[in-house]
Amino acid sequence: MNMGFLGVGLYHFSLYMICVGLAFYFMKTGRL
Amino acid sequence: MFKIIFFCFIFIFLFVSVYLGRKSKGLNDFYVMGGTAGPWLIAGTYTATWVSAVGMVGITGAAYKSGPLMAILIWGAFTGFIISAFFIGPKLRRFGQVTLGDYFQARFDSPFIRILSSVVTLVGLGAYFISQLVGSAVITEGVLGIPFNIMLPLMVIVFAIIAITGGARSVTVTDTIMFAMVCVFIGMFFSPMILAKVGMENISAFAKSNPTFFTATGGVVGWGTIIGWQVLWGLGNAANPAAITRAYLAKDARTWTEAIMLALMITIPVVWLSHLAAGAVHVVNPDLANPSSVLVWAATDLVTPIVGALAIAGLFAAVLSTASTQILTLGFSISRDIYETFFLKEAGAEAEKKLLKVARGSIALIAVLSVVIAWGRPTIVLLVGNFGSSVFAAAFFPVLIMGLWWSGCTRQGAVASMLTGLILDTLLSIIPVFMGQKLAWSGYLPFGIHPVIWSVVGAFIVLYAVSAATRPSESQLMVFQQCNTINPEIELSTPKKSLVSFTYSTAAVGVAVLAFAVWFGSKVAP
Repeated sequence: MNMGFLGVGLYHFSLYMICVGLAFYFMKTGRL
Repeated sequence: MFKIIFFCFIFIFLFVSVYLGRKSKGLNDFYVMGGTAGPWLIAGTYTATWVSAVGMVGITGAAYKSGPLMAILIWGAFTGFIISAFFIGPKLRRFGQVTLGDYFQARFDSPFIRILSSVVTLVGLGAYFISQLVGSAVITEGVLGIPFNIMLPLMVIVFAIIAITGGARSVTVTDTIMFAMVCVFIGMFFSPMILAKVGMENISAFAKSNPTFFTATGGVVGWGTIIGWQVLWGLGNAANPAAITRAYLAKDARTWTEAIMLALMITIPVVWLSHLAAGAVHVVNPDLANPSSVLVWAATDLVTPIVGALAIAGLFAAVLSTASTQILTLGFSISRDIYETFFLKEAGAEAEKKLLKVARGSIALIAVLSVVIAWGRPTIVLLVGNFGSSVFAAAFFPVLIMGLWWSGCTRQGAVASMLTGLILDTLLSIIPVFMGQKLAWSGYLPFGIHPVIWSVVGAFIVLYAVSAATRPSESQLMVFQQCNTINPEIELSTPKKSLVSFTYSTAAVGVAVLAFAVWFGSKVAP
């Protein structure tokens, strides 16, 4: 396994997941 | 052949612009499309403005030369997408006018800060715009063989016509069409075909003998620089007037958030695929004299003629789509922030007519000025592009985000912070030039940390310290309230179901990107 690919893949994956988490949080609190 | 594609291209987009210009209804439409754009149009113009020719051609060149993973990391603006989507865009949209200067003046009750923000916009975005312009003209010169000094005014005329005819409407629609071309032609057809043509077994064999080529640093940059890119482009993108003012166009807050999710869903996979493809070209042809020509070489020599021609059209789309929003934002900075605020004498319908004329005139003025500055291809211009983004990160970002989130943020604090960010970033970036190094070289600073990080931290500290020592006025607090009061009927008119499905799609794309990275990573293990 190339650790660089795993790392950058996880970095971009975490950006998507932060986006998803924030969207649900903002919807729950009535801001979106 | 390429010339025919290019000129067909220009003709089609000019036709679309003129058609949309005829449909344009008044000043508000010219400025912000009447605030009616849906998620696809916003995502299109937002990403097209950011995915530039210099990025698509210059950074794929770096992927070819030094390794694809390092080049993917240069695209550091994705954090900025998220900050814009949730923390800046929705609140700024509630204020809802035309430029960042509109917001700064109202929030801090100060015409001076509007002038200051116009200066930062004109310097930062102007530097970025002209560097893109020179880069784009160099690329088209290389592909088409048309001399730079003919290409430059030709392209500026095209951008100016797109922006002048229909304002925000024509720029947004043409940007979206062009961005779709970049994604489909380069992301979906061209890049996978290059990877297939080179063959995964050859790429694997190459990785065994050249292990550093597939590392995150490519063996050529330090981690300080990589983190610097994420801050410079992340915060710079979040506070870039050409990007964040797209929030004014959005139909409502949910539309804005959906648009940025869409931008993330599309851009990250396209960046991965195109840069891995550029890196793969190195496996079959490591001897290109000019690394930036890697995609052009692959289009002519590696894939089928139709896919190659479409890829070249995609590159032209990247060339033409970046500058139109920039020229529009620059023009508005003059017409709205300076002329309308300080010189307009007419009122009512007369004023609107006059302002439309001035807005168009300002775009034309920026067009002429940019040709004059970029004439003869000054090399310094290419270096100042990054600097433009770092100025937004340092001078705008702290004031923008704190002004929206902290009621105690005062005029004095904002002015002091903006000046600190601007001056500190300029000084720290220029000092290396006198040491015989590149602009914004960070080797002389403690821990090799990029100038932009010091400047952003400095601007935040000054903002907090000065604001804590002063008090905001009533009118400042009123604008803060306006930005922080949600009116669900207007703002959340898009059904929640729609936002939920965008959110699930984002999660699905995230999983797919990770799965792809792991799969590719297993093929290029050292």
